[in-house]
Amino acid sequence: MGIDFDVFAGLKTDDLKAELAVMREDLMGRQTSYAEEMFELETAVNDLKKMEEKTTFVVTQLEQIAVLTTPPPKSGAEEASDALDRYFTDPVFLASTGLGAVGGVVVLSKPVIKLIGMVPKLGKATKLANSSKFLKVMKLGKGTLLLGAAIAIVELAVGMISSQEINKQLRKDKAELNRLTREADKEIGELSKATTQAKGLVTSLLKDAGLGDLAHGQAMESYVRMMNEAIGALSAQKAKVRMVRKMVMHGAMTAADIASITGVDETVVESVSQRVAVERALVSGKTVVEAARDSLLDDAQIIEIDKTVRARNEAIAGEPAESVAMLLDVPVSVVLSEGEENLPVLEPFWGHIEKAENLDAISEKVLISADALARLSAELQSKAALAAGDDPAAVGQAHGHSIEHVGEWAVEIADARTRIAILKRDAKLRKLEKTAVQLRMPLSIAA
Amino acid sequence: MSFFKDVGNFFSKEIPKFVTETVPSVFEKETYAPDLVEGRKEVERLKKAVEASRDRFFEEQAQLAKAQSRFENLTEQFANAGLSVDTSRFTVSPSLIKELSESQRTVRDIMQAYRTVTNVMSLGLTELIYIHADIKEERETLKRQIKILKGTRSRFDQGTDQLIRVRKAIEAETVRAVEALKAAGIEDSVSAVSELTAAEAQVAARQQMAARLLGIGTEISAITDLIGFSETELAAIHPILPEEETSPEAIDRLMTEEEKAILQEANG
Repeated sequence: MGIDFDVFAGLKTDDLKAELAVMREDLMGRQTSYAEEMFELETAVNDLKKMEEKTTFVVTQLEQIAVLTTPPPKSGAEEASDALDRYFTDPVFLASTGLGAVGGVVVLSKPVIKLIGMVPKLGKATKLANSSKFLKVMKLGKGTLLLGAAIAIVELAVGMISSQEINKQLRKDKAELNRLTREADKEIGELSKATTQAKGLVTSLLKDAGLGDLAHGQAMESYVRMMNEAIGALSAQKAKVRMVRKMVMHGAMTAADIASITGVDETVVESVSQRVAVERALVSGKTVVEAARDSLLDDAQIIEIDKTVRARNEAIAGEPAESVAMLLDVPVSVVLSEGEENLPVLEPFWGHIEKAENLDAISEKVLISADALARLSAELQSKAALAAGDDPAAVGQAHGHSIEHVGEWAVEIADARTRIAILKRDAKLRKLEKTAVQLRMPLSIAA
Repeated sequence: MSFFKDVGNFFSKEIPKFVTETVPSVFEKETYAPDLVEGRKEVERLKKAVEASRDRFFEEQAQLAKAQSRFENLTEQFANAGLSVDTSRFTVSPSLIKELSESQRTVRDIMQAYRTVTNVMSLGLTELIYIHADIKEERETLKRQIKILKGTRSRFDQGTDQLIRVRKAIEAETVRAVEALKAAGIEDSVSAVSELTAAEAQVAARQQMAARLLGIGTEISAITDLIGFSETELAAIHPILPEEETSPEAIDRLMTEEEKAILQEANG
């Protein structure tokens, strides 16, 4: 929208000035609404970022709990394949069905489950919020500058004495004024589109959470609190189900005892037991078909369990989480947590693993494949050789690694030595194995 | 052109500008007043300087807004999360709040002033000054413009300095808040509150399970193995000595009614 100059034609000075005053008000009004719009956009984008972080975190927790229990069973060939297809890709499915298979695990309220379904939408919003166009619009407030300039021109004209002068000045600046208003309008249009989009998304998310009736600030606070509660509840569940797994793997307790100590339903213990049995079969080298035959589960369920077992093996063997996740089609958070949770389990066996002793027996105990343990063993031996001053090229060749890869270990060794020195200085080095496991280093370095 | 009737033959009154600046001519006033050339140059230079100052001011405004929202995000989320973190160190000092509101007023004032002085800046109006027929008139105009431009520039610069001061203060507060987090063993990240909520819930769940195990007389070493707490951690959570852990008082303290029933049943 440009400025319509025809209205000025033939006007007397006072009328002209009045017209200009209106135009000035209009421009200033636009400037104010631009500033307000900017503020609203910033707020909306901030809200979206907060919401996305919370929801993504909840989904991560769900994914990590899901791999501790048995995946959903078959209830019809098509349904089952659909269900398992959605196992990791559809968080709502995971929350409502995947975990529903093990009664008592899911503690999420319906609004939270609904919100979890918003993850892709939220991801899109965050992407939008971080796009260069948005950042540019939000950073400089170009529209304000353009309008400021247009207002200055009008003010200059208002201050002139005669209609003759005013017209002369406006005629000179007509093109400039029109350009400034046009550009400002374009900026405002983009900004307002972005704001509408962002605000609409925030509103619909809050409405889905059942918070649509609250004032915005309150609704946001409730949203965050709701998600924090979900995170807390899920994390507590995760700790409990992990303990169930530990106790099941230990093998000396009854399902009822485990259930009462951990405070979960016995069905959860059964589901975990079933899964552990399948994992044991898979780790010992049985095929999916064999494992399915020995258990009451169908192939699709075993394949799903197999994925996590493989992810764990690769994580322990030291493969980067992102590539493992991509290769096996499991969430990165699962690969990461499988690595983090299972490495400490190896603490009592660390010395043996380094020397590559009894790997089969250890494998059976910790449910990590002997092959993965052998690869870990090779890494520890390489690191020990490097630490002892061996040539990086020779170390690399002996274990089939590039010099660059070995070079990274050299850096890690130097870092580990510093950390150990600090621990020793502060008299905090108590358990050698624990520190060695934490640093993923051979015992000789920690000594 | 019909709508600018009033303009009429005004242009004919102007002195034609057909001679270049480099060749002084008897027709040009510059020949008699070379200071005008210098003055115009000074005005042009100052206009550029004002624009640069203005852009720095806007840039700083954005920086300040960023620093402010970072601090608010950091503190607000911890203050409302109901965690065991001491949030008293996250409160902003009253003097900083005062400085912040003062800086906001400065921004408003400067914007207001800027609008009234932009008429001497390069907004397609630059030729305006060249149409002064009179040497004295142009000289005065130039003098006035230089004064206004200098004033505007220094206002922008002072405003920028003020904003920088406030931003530095906020950033210092942010560093203090981050250090307070670090002292509490918390990493400063967008998901810090989520991580912490998760960690505290897990510890609480493990404490609960440890307490139950203690309650049914499990050996301390077995508990530390299973739960992953060290003996000192375990003792710190529930300072129960092994000999009294199966006392009725301990069981009463540690177990729910349901669990007590289960235990009773188990003991026959």
